[in-house]
Amino acid sequence: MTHNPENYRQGARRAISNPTLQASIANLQERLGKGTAEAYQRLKEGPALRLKAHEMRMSAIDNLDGLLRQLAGKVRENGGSVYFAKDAAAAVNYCLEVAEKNGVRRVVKGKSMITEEINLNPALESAGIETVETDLGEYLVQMAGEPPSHMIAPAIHKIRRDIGRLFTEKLGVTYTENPSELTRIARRALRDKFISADMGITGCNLACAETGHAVLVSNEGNIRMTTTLPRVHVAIMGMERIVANLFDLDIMIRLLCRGAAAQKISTYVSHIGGPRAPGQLDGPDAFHLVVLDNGRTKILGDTTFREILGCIRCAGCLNVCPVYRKIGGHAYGAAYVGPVGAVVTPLLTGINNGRHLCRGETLCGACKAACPVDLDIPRMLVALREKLAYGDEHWQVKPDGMAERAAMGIWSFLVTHPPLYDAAFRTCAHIQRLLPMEGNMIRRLPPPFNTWTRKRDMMPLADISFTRKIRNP
Amino acid sequence: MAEHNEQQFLSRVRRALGRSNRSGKPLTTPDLGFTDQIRSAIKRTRNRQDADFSALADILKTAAPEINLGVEFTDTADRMRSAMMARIEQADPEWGDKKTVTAWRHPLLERLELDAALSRLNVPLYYPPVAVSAADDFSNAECDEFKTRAAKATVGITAADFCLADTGTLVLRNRPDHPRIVSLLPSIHMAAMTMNQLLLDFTELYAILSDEFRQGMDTVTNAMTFVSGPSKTADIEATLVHGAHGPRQVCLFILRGE
Repeated sequence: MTHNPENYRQGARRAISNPTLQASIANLQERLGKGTAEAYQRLKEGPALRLKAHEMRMSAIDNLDGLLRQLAGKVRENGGSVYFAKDAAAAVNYCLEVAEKNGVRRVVKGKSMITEEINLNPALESAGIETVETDLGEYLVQMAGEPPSHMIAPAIHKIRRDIGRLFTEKLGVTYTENPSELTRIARRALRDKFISADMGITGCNLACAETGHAVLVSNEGNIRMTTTLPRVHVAIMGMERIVANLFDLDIMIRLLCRGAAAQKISTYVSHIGGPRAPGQLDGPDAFHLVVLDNGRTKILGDTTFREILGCIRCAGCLNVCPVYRKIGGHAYGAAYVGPVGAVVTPLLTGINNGRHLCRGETLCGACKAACPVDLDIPRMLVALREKLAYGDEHWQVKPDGMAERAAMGIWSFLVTHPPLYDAAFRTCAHIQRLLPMEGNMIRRLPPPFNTWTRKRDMMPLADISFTRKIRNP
Repeated sequence: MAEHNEQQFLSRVRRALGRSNRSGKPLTTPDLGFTDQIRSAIKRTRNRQDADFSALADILKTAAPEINLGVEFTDTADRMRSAMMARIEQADPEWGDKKTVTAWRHPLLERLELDAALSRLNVPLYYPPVAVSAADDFSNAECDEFKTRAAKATVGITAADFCLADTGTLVLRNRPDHPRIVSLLPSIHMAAMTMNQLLLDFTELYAILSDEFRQGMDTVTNAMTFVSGPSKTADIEATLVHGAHGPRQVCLFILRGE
């Protein structure tokens, strides 16, 4: 998966010209977007709980050093191992080492965006380890050889006919397009994988520092299977996904499930606090928690962007975003998509590299209103654009869009010099007569302004400017 | 190596937070855990009377259908057993040719005398093996054997630690004799409990857990699971389907008057 402006444009174009995808995302947004807003209203503390949760997240982030140390201590006390991974390579290597040490041949995975971020699956596969995604949506996209297109509903871009054909081709089953039957086929196919897997790998929705538990939510039960049946369980967490204590956990879990799927609570919430104890019949013999930095301390060090570390990856912002609604997840070309992806991806992979992402959003503010922890994503999008406009040493941003900046400079000079402005205006009003017109609109502008008129017409300048009308009524 | 790694990691975090002292400031968990809200939640749960539990039962009766959770209230252990047997009779084996049941070793379940009732139905019942002593751990073969049994079972019977009325959530804690696969691998999950194990919501539950944890009790255990209804998915065209990977049916049996 690579993201660059050209792929973004192409991906967007592909998505917009795909009517089934448009319908699927619209349907998802209609249900979840509205459902989430209602679910916040029904909180017993009222929707203002989101603001309290925001403070809670920020306080956890501001105390990250202490909380991470406390978490690591507790997990070890409970018999688990903790590994602090500086970057993606360190995390991947650690997983490979654990797998090798335990003679792992098959891995089952719970849905996790962080393993997409570090590109874990290809590394496991090339080490000769069969790696099976077990969330139904992830299983479908893995089988089709595609990346997920939504953080919670990864196969939202697929319709039942595609899935029926995919199962017939890959699993050799009789064709059906009935969702119940398709689910039953996957249930059977994956059950053997769960039971025979040597290692389970999951993300970590939240970790509780006080008690040393990794907390994972799911509706399907695949996370429970993955954390219970194999001999080894590895949970990988972004270093920011931490809550101080059980009291905070109560609030964060309730908000997470509302943000993610407008649910009061997901079907399963697993609190994993270490390996099987003597006398217990199930659970893994070894539990490893991997805490990943991979660019997060850099975000932490900049108070402009520190707020984005409060994100709990519920994907609530995807379900209201007008841009995501049209262009879908694949256009973003990265693990984290939608509004949160438009902030996180440039910060993790370079602001110049991700310039199209932060510029592609509309700043409408829907994401902030839908966020269970009230993150000000629009503010951070603007801040990223500012870095792009003026450059930034800390983030090694080269100023981008010099032409735009020059144009703005000329504009601001003109508007502060009225006689010049008037002259320029009248010249343009004359020149525009040479342009191709249709009805009352300009059809095409000359380069470099032609990108504006490629998809729309432009209103011509008035014969007499507003200023002149005011002065000579 | 890992130690060094961790030190470096945490000092990078400290630097990013603008703290200069190498050891970091002494850890102070913000003491939000014992706000008035928590205290009053604990007090509320301790002072509940019969009428309060009935009110919780009514809340549960509204919440349960929303998540497809079956709930049956019974007045005696005999009635509870009959209710369970009625459902077991109707159940079809999914993972093997033969209908089987697996259950926790638990005082409440012992009172139900499931063995006799199930043998009348000619349905085998498997309990987890008993460890000879606390220090005596199970062998891999013993663990695998029980795993195979549970994976073939039609019904798994557990005894919930709590049920949260507001969401229909069962709280299951991992302990010897209480394997977590019993609520996970069989096609149908049945849970038993008494009325006084009802709580209102997550805030009450976490308040109790928090209180007990701070008294040094192993209250969250190494695997605490919340189960709110049967396993489900909506990954195919956002159509809701029950029975994704976990049980496709969940039923809670509550013994009244105790």
